[in-house]
Amino acid sequence: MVDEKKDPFEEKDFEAKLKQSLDNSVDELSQQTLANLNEIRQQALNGKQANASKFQWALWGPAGGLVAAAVVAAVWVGNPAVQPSNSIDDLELLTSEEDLELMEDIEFVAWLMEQEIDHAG
Amino acid sequence: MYFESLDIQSGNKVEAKQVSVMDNRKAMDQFLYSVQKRAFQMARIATGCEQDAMDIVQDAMMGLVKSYSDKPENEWHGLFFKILQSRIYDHYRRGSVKNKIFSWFRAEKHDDEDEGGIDPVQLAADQHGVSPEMKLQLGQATEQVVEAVAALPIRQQQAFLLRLWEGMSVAETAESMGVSEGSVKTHYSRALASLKQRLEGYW
Repeated sequence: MVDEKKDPFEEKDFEAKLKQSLDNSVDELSQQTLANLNEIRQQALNGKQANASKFQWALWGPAGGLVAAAVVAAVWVGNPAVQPSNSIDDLELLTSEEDLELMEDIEFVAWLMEQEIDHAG
Repeated sequence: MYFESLDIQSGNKVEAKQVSVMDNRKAMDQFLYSVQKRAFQMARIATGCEQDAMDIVQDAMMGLVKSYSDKPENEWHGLFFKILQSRIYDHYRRGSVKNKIFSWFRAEKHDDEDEGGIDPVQLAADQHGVSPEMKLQLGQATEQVVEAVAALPIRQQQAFLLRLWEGMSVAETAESMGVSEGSVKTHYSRALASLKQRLEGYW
């Protein structure tokens, strides 16, 4: 009969090897990566939000805005029964956190679509 | 003389506060330095992308500094990795949204009925793997382990890395992952079994 109980020594040894390999993987990080990590750490300590990668959002933000505007226009044209309203309730709805998140998602999707097209091309 | 004494006391308090702020910043700097490489590697393994990993680590650092600097130092570790895990899950969820929307635009037939209401993080597994640039940096043995860990479903991956690598207790890991302790034990056990199977014969 096969003993299915785990050998604690074997398991500890296996875990130790895994841990050592993971430690090694960190030791092999590039100088550039380490420099970037030090930079973002200092930015965090100074409360700065700047970074290079998020710059791309600034580039694609306007494109996303155009797509969002096109979607709104399409809905508007497709649903003429909707009348403009100036009520405060509508303003609250438009500026609510959920709507802002929706707009961010639309911009995000627009950016992703551009990325897909670029990669496909 | 009395006022002079008050001024000195007041000055001492201001000075003491400044020293305290400086000490806090120094302590936070040291803490972030101590975890930044492992945090980056965790995020990189999870996302398979250096830039995404860097963004995730930065968000986690900023979140800790902004919201939890005044917490006791011994709580920073758990809080930092809780934020990190949250950012990694957000990354997966966004990936899931992206896939759903693109499949919708491509009008692909897709049966979502079985997946309704299930957290995409639960379903996510080995979406990214090890990037070519990461392979270049890693030795062969290390590469095998990193690849095997990257192939784990994300929950198993995080439970494994937090428990084994960060040395967190089951309770701490559960708190960081936002799951029950039983779930952590199950994820860890499954992760270890998968890794054994995958690395069998290599060691």
